Amino acid sequence: MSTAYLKPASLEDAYTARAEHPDYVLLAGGTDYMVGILHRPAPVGVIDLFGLSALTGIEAGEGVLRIGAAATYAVVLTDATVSESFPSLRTCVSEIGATQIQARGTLGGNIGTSSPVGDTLPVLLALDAILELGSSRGTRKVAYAEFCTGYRQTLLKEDEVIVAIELPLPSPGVQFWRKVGTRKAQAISKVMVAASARGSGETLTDVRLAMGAVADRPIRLGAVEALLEGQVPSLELAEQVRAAVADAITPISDLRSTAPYRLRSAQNLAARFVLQRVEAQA
Amino acid sequence: MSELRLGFPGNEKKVEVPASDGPAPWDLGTQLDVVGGDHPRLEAPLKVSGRARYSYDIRFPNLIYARLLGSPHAHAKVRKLDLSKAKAYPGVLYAEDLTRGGTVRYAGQAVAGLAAISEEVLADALSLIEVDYEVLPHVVSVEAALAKGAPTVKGRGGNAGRARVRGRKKRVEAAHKAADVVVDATYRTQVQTHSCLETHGCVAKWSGDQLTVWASTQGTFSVRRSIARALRIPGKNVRVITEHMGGGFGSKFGADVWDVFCCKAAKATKRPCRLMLDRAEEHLAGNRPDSIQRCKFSAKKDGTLLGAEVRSLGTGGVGGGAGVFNPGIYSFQATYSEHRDVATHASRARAFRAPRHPQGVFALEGMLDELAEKIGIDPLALRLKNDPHPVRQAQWKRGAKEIGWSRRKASGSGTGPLKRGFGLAGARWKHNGRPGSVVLVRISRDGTVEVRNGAQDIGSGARTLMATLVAEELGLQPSQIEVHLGDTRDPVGPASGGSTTSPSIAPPTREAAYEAKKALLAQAARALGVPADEAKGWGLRAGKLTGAKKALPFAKVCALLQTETVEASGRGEGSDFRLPRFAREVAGCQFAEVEVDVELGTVRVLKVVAVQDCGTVVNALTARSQINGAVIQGVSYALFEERLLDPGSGRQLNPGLLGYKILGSLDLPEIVSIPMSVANGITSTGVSSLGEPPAIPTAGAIANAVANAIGARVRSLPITPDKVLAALAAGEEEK
Repeated sequence: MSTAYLKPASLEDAYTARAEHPDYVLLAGGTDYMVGILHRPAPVGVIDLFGLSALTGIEAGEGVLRIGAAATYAVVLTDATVSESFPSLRTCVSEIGATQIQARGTLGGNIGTSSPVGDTLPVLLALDAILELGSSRGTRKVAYAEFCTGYRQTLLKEDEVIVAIELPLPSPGVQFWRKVGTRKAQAISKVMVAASARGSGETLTDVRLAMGAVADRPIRLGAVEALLEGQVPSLELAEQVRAAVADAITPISDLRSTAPYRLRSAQNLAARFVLQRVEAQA
Repeated sequence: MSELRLGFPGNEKKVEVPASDGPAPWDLGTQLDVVGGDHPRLEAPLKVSGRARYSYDIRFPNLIYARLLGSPHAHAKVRKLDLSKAKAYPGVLYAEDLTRGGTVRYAGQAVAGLAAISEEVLADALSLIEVDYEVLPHVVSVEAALAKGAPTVKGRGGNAGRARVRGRKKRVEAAHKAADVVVDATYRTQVQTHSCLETHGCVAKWSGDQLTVWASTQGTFSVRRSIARALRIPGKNVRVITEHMGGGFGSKFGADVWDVFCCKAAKATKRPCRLMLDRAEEHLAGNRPDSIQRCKFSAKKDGTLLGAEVRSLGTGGVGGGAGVFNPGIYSFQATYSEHRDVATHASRARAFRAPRHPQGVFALEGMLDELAEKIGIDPLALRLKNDPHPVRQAQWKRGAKEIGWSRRKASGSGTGPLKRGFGLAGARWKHNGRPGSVVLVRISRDGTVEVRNGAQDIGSGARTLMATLVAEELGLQPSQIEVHLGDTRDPVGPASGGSTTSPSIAPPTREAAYEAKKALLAQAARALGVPADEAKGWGLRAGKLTGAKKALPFAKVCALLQTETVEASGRGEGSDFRLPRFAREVAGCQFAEVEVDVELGTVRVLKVVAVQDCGTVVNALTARSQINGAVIQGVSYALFEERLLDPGSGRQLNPGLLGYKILGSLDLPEIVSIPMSVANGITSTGVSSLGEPPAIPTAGAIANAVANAIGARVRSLPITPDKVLAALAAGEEEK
């Protein structure tokens, strides 16, 4: 059985194709699709959005940086605003796969695949990203924090396409990103932690703490955020964060790691976010 | 009689040897012009430009493709296998039931084979093979195989094999009693797959009753023999070609079930046939067995080693071959070891770069460090006190200087989340050259020099080694010599196992060059009208004739030939391998510096220093490459690689390089490879084994460095972050 292939020339065409073929797979860079091709059933068809110019731009506008859903990681890495204002995203993207993967992979693809181990997803949560979703019916905006509803489940409707990712500007002054994989690069992450905060002086405000690979979807840890809110980083606070993380997540054991390890390293990384501030102030 | 100066600067030994009419043995006093230098691989331009043809690359216009179907069950009886639908599928040309005996004993074991016009047709047709299995209970781990009521793997009897015992229990117990310090600990190592870059397989092509096989093998002649035997045809009708190969590491010695199937399919269809395994299949084609080593070591307060007692288990799956080299290396007063192979429903182990050694040395060197820690003695001092090998004594000092051993601090004493540590480990290996190879050297009137032998280059740079030896004898540069390897039509050569290739091929290579030179100079003298007696002192050096009135260039000397060529064979006869030896074994040691993140448990190997004796260093560049490669594989073994089998299904959970992680370039440490030239005697060239020994100590050195960094010990490979954090947590509890 062969797979049908559509390559829309415009966003309108993409919407039409999507409406007509809700059972087709949306294809961006194909970095996930091509891995699965050997052991997943072939889809009925694909709608290839890679390189569609309406989806590849990156623009800094009023109070927001808008990244086209099909902008490749390689392009994201060259963007000046990303480098200046979103160092956590930049670092995260620079650590994805290798050059070849970065030349194909896209934020929209990572969001659409919605794997619990998608690398950029905790960062988007920590940066409070907004998604722009489009269809022939029009466009709508959804907070990324609301978007994932379960294991590889999202709010994306059958006729919709992810158009862009918006990151609020000015960006949080404090940003944090760390992942642990089996090896330094080109490995699926065992655990990921992203965080951000604004702050006047030493106090942390507007704290966001997100994790990947510790639940069925990328998650924010509301209780830990609440604990950190308005606090001045200290060794004691780091200890409290460790305890709060233990209450907040229940990771699993799998091929790549064990539940106790995921919990312990997630605790330590969240604590590191705090300790880094302590050390910076010391 | 003549005198040989053996050893190395600082430790020299003179021995008397009978004079021979062959080339005079090299020793410490020999002035060598090209041997010992840095010579780029002769085939490097072909390899880096993609022109080198590996067996994987061999294609023909009417080529057909073959694949085997593996059992999804780890243990099952095949009740019925129906090939009819697959055979009827358009494009399928040949099919065979491979279920001999009717029982499969590991997941992935071949039950049938198909050949077809394309790989796509094959993929479709394989799914049409109907197999009715009676699924039987299985065991895939040592523990499960030893449990009461476990299903048996090899028919009658339990799964544990007979104990292989060495040493006397009573003596080691007495040694422990006299000890000030005793350490009792259990070490574990994982199953590592060879993961050769080029997978196993071949391309087979018949012409009448003559079969040519392009095999990815480390033994062209062993493949010739095993294919001939399997097909019941004379060996002379089989030609095996392996021009370049992408790794074997011990897993590619003979013709496998897939190779034989490929040859049969080619014969039946009268078309060339190709069968190369995919990565998941390659993971089934051999592995380094795992081990559980219960060790009890003892010592005196002053660091004198007393008793070493090791009880080990390991599984080679449905095959044997487990076992550990532990204890060893050091002088203990008494040793006792007991090993049992445990059968499991897993694919068969095969020889893997220094079989038994890396797993044994990991535990052995860990135990020594544990003793050192308890006694309060520096680990290096403990080695120096108990190491009987004269070469390694020098190597420990050299390596310690290179890594900066004096920077090592008390274990676990670092501050902050990133902790540094240093560790070391040793290695030994036999001088493994063997007689029986024949090398042909042909010098032509046009000045060209060819060298021929039918053995393969497993990747060590055998071509360049041979070219360098011939160049030394003929006063030329290695790049001026053309070496042909990997074709069984050429003279017989060794299989690459036990690090035998270089030491086995070097003596006949040198001898052939020596004899060809004699023949060349004799003809040249005749042509110039110089009496034989007068020409006796002639030689070839730096591209010129020496000792004669006129220093003719080499090409001019060759132009004097009355015959088209002069040719000579060097035969590696037993007598060539009987020179006295400086030491019974080759020696090596490695030092590692690591950085451990104690919050995440991640280990970064910063630097590895490897000092390795390999007898005469023929080509320093490829010698360093060999050591680099061994260290890389060792780091990967220490930190990353592990075959995981699902206890439930018996299948591999991580088949393929997505799940089976090998280290990446970012995980590489700085590697300082120091090939140490030792005039070992042995043969006229003194070349000894190098491929395997540097693969032995890496994991042990890294494990010791990790323990030094964090003040807690991970006694299980690979040293993954979860084990590091668990060891730290256990250490905290003890406090």
